[in-house]
Amino acid sequence: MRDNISFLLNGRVEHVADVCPTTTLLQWLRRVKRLTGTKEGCAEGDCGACTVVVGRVKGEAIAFEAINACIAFLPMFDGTTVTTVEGVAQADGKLHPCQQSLVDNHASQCGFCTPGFTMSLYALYRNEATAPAVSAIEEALAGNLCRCTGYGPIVQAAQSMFGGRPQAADAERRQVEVDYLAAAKHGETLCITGEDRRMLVPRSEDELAALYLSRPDATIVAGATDVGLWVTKQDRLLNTSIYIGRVEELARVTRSQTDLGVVIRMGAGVTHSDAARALSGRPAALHELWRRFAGEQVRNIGTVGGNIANGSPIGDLSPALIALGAQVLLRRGDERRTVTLENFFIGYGKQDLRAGEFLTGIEIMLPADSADFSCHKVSKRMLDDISAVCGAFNIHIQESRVAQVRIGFGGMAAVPKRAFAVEAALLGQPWTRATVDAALVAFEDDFSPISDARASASYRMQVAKNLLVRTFVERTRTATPTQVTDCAASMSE
Amino acid sequence: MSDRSVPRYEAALKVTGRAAYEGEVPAVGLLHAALVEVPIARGDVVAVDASEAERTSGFATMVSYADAEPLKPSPATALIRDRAVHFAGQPVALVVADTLSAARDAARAVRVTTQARPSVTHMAQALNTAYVPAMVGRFPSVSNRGDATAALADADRVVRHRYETAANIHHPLEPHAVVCWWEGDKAVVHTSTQAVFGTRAMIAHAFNMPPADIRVISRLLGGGFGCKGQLWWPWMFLAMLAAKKTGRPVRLELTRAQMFRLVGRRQETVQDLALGFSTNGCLTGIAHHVTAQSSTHAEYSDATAVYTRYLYACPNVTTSHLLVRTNEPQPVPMRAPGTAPGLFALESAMDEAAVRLGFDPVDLRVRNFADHDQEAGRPWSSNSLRDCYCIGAERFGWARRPAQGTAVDGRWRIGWGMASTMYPAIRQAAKVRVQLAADGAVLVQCGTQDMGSGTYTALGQITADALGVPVDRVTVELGDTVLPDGPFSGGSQVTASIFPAAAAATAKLRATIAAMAIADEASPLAGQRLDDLEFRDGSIRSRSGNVGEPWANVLARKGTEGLEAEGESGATQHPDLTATSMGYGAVFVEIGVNAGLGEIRVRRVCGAFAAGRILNPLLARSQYVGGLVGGIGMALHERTETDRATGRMLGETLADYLIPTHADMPEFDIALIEEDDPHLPGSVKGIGMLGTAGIQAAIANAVFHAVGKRVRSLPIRIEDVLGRR
Repeated sequence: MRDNISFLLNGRVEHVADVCPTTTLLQWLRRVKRLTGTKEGCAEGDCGACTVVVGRVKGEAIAFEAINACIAFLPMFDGTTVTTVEGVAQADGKLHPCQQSLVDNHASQCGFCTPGFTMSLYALYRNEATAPAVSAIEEALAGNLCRCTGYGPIVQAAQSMFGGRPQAADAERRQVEVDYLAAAKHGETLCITGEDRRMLVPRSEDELAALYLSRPDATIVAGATDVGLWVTKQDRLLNTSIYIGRVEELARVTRSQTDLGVVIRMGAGVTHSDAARALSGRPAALHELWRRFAGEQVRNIGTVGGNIANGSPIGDLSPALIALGAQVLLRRGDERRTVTLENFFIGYGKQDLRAGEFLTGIEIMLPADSADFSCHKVSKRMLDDISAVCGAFNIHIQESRVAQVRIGFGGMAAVPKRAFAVEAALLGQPWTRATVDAALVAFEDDFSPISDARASASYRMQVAKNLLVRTFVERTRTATPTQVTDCAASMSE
Repeated sequence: MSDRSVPRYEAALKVTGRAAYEGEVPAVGLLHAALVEVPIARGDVVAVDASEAERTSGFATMVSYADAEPLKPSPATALIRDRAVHFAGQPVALVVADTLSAARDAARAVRVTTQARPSVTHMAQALNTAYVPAMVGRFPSVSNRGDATAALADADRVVRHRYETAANIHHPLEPHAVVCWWEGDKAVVHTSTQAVFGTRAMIAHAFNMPPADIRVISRLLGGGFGCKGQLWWPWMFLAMLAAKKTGRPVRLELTRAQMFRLVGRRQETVQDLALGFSTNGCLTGIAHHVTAQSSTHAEYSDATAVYTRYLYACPNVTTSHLLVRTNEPQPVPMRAPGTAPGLFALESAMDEAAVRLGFDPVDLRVRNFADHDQEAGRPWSSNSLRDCYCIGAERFGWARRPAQGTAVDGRWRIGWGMASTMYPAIRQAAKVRVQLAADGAVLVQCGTQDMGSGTYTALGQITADALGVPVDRVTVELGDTVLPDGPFSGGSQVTASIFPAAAAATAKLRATIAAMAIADEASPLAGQRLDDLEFRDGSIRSRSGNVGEPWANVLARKGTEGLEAEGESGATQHPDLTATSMGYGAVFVEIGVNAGLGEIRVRRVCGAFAAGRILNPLLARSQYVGGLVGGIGMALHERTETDRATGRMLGETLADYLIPTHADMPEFDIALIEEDDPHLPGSVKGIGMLGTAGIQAAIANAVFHAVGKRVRSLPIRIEDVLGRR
């Protein structure tokens, strides 16, 4: 067992021992290394001022991604490369194109958010060969808040930084990082202790199962995008924690063909970004939901498993997963069991988990036809906002009747919830507006939402119903353009 | 000038992480501070017991009201000296320790005993206690021009509605921070403040010490927007007391949650507005009455209805302001104070009137243009508001505005709306020092600070232009009370204030160098006429004789170490003005409303602004766009609410309090309409506030245009535009 960690920080190897394991990367950078370029704007992963770029080995691949340093614990970075705003310019001081572009476009005013934007742009620059579409830029920057510029100049900077790439310096740096990542690989379990706190980093699922069974009061940490807040905001002391980010089995996404269709199995440690990549765009509605899920920095480190295990009543992803028939895979010691996602949520902040039991992953069934599945996130702010209501519909029509239906909702109850009564009202009925209208009343049986700062109870109920109507209208309207084309063709003849 | 859009002076520091903010100043033996807060909304502190905290590891000391007794009583020290609790979450003590986590642990271990008393946690609970403050800013609270009551009674058409705006939080990305220490009897205070001199004066008064013994430094600010002023940052005193008590430097930085209640907010308003018109669309009477929240420990009112006295021609105008004191945090100015909430009401009502009267909204405004300042009875120094309407409408394509409720794009229903904006152009007293080195390097100094709006850039540019050198020859120093006195950063007046002072300093230097050159036999300019000389491309040249030399050569030959000059300029003397100065703008927006869900997205914005001469178009544009996005936040997202049962703020995170992100950003088209203004030095007006006001009404007006729902309360909630209300 190793009691220290190493990583590459701005091109230099750092060895850290005797550190409180819940020290955040940001605290360590600012207080120990005196690298104050990386800012603390909120210490809750909302503003992106603390963005750094992390290089990690992921299976056979290597990824360089933007993450929030403010809620990530230092031991999570063992064997990675970390680049901060101080490490972006060339050694001779020449600004990196992402920096020069921010300067040229007046994209920095007060400058406090600027290091975070610089790093998000730096990640974008490394991962794209040419200027991406504005929507992709917005996605990459949705986790960064700015209160001065109005963002326009920053988007311009993102677009213009791709001209004239200095290939040599980039390639050289990348080689150093790739070499380090290869050399730093090790299979040892970590046990990081400091200030009476301990973090264990197991390397296999069996090891994790044994560790957690013997220490069921330990806190499981995956991406720390929620647990990090317990420490930074609530000053909770995690005496013992177990970081699952190095358990290889939990980082896998597998696809298998069954009689019923394609089953996707995602390990509990798979990040949102990796899950989205593995599904490569299908079903489209799930990807649109991911696009609007938190910000890039959170998606790059937060996990699908963590999103489920923390049991948020909104839990943006959960309604979609419920509609996709998600099964939660659980393990306690050597015992394994499976529960449906809707049954996993028992009550507000309470899940069907026994002491020492943890999530190993989830399984979802891809809809046979991508068009069967739709989800709708209703939020005030377009990106990086929690939804007021999130509805997901998986409706299969055969011979003009509803042959299969699964509907999940978030924001409508204390937990993400399946709309059984609405499903019952639709199943077997002809897929018509009359059926949909008749099913609306069933929402009142399924849900009694509450009023809060995001929306009132009556709004939520109204919108939930409207979402079903919208789903109907959108699906039946798909035939329309064809009809128009046919019509136009016949007219021209 | 060849290209006025020079890059930002300090941009390279900011993109490389080398820009050091005041909370990052290193100090040997630094102690970290955490505030001890009380949960009650009103009452008294009976005791603060640190005995348990003292046993926590790393504990250094605690300071509370008991330590604050030597401070002189004033509004600034009230919250520090008194045992009275005015709002939930109010700090009553500060703990310092070796590390921040130790300080937080110790602060949690402090036992505070309180005696709670009944509290008022919303304006609505205490409307019967509403009172008229003497002044709202520098304006009287109440105004009466003509007889508005009679005019409204006689008007052909009257639009009368209530408009409401929520409490907003400034949320600069940098939370307030202070690093301070004592050197004997002298204090050094590094703090993120928009007013280093005001902060110094406040400290001098509180500690009863000469200002010269206090140095306040704020070289870089991570935004302010009004909350990094002076009185609303009294927690700094606790850090200074702790530094005195321990003899060590102390650092206090607020958490994001504390930013919700400890450093001010835009005040909540309820506004009753009535507009009377003749059938030909001319305003005959206006009544604008505002009720707004203030705290129980200090009085503050935005000048919310004040701008209604100026914007339109109308013989009968009455306005008033009432305050209701509640056990909620203290309101303070926030970007576009007064104009943002006030113009939301006025410009929404004008749109309602246009619909009622059957006028185009732009035409109705042009028809009621005020050709002079009717309130003061004097001319405008310049007023290009009609150009703003005209050019903005042209660029936006306003003439093609579809009929109300008819435009659709997919599932989005499209609406267009517009509104006017304005802000007074004023100046504060300022001094600027300019030093020239013998090698031609220029150093310009002013104590005023740059809160991010571009003061470094503007002062460098003004100085470089005046001396005919490239901007990269100029070093700018700001944000330190050892430098010449400068204005506070607020009220859109810093650039206008320092411009004449810098101009005076550089004029003196030019005159000195010119005199030296003319008198110098070795100079090609020997014997030339003074008024024929100009400074250009680093040289002093004769315009007619086509001779010249680098002005550094003139200095070098004299063997001088360099030259120095100071320029000074005065504040706007409001009673003596012969003309009233304001900046203006017209904002046009297109929005989409998702009719089934109520989601609103702003699709494009055209802002046409007239605010004197523009020193740096790129800087100006980014100020306007930043302001407009702030206005979009106020219109659609930003609201902080008090839990009426406990007085606590609801949702103290940036996940709950939404500020706009990129995806909320529409397409912007900014028209800069330049003005010559003989009344203003250099024709310079402020621009920082203009973009943030007006757009709120433009958006609400566009919502009406899209879906026929009139929303009179900000922020517009998604349910406001859905179904019946």
